[in-house]
Amino acid sequence: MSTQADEAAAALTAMQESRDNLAAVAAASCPPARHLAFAGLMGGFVASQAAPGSLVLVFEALLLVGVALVIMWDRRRTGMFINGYRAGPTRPLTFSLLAFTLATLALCDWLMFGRGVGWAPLVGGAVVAVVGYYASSIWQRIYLRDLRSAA
Amino acid sequence: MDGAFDPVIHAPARLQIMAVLAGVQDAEFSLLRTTVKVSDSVLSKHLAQLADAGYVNLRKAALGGRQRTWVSLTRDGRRAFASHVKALQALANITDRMAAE
Repeated sequence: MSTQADEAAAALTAMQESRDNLAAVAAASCPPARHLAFAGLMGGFVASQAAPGSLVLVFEALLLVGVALVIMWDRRRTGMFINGYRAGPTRPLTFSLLAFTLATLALCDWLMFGRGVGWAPLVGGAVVAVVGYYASSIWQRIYLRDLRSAA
Repeated sequence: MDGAFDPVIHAPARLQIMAVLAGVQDAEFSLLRTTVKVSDSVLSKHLAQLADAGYVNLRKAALGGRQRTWVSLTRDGRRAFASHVKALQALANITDRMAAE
């Protein structure tokens, strides 16, 4: 039994080494520009509501193209893609940021259409962009910690 | 004992491949080679065995003007990996308990 248990422990150690290697690649290949790109897309999503009429749809289409470009950039830069909604300790942050963004969007729409504050989405977008930048940085730290935590 | 040992995942290199894939949505062949530290031929062999078992998906896609192989875990693969790791942890804990006694 002891030999089997030792083999199991050795297998877990080897497995952790490969996850540490993945963490090293992920840490080295995520520059601040990547967090900035994410922040720009999130902020742009809210700020685009300030555009007149059907221009909103044009901006939103451009943002979707931006999302696709960021995914391509990730794959090219790192050789992997990590889903932001992945299960694990990063998920609460993902959903918190999503809830914050949607709440900000709703508030901006209410201010713009209900109170006539046309610039509200621009301010809301800036706020979401700043929060998004820091949330993206924290998300990465949690993700790396998750990879490096012993199996 | 929690979890179940899976003979397909039991080989060290395949366990490492599964561990890396469990951390991402998909990974390119060369990234797997770097993180698991095996040769191209060994990695290809293990990926073929994992694909035969239905644990990974392999797809070819162009990136930077070259065809590359992208690998992802299937739902069955993710489940089998989690179960196998649980079984390993339960077994490894026996050593800790024996040492403590």
